[in-house]
Amino acid sequence: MAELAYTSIEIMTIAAARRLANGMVCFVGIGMPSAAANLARNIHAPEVVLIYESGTIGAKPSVLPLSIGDGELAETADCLV
Amino acid sequence: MHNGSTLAMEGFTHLIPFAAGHEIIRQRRRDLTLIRMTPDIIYDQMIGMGCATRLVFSWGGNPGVGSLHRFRDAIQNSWPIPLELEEHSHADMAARYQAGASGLPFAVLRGYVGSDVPKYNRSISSVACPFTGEVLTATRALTPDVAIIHAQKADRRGNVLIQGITGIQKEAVLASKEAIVTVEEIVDQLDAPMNACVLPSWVVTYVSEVPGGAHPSYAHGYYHRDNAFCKAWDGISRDREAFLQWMREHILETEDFAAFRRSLPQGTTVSNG
Repeated sequence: MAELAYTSIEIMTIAAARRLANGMVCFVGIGMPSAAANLARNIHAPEVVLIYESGTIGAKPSVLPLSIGDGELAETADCLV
Repeated sequence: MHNGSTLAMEGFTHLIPFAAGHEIIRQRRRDLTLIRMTPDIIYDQMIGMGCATRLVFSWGGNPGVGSLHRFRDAIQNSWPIPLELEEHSHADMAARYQAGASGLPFAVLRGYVGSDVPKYNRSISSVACPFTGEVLTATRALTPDVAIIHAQKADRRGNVLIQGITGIQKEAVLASKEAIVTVEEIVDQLDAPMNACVLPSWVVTYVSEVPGGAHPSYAHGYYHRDNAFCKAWDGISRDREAFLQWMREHILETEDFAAFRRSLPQGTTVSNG
């Protein structure tokens, strides 16, 4: 049998990303959820609204945040509450 | 800080008051009730050094890294001393601070639907809406003895400016009997934009200038998170002896936060970047 060219974490992330349609509003957690949400935003859902629990609404990070407190989320958000 | 105090150290993974936590460890404070949304490395250090007998919290962990091993050891093995837990959700804790800040006895939220948490937590109950009859969660107000936060700037009168992700710091300060703020710098003029998050001097008890005082967490506009340190903590904290050795070398045997920074190996020092 050929060796799988992907990990279960990668395929779960991609499956989650495919569930996010353009314009949806999504409450995002750090780790796989954040990777999935930003994958969707970068590929098929550019208008998806990502909310992180630190109060960063409409965040558009160019690199994945290390935690919810990452300044990248604050600087790219539509609003900060 | 006094032994037995109820202490809230806030900073929602940003602007975490590490320097203040280290000083509490140096002063060997005991029997504290620690309150915090996202207790992370600083509370792991304080718990591991035996400062706390009770933790009131929402979500505990080393953010983006994994479990807190000193926290876990205290719960599972009562090491170094037993730790009583009171767990809430983030929305609940935020509402509790807001109620405390407003002088109200409790807060109302639509939370814990389908959860058993309220059964095991005496600070969470329910209340019927007088208008619709809907049963909602009632959660006891938080009124800590002391709040400690870290912020970017204070002016010479003690007005404090917090920028970026502000978490629940303002509410925690207003809910507490006393508030201590460490800041990156003290300036002549805050030059705060209108609607900025400013704590007026009359709600702040003490201000202390501690550059880098949130390291290894972020301080927006000053430095990014020291992620190498956050990852290294996972290894340091797994073993009791390695933990104690690290705490002796870097906290107990350093005079202050500046000395602590100098004691760190190259590459984990605070950088402006």
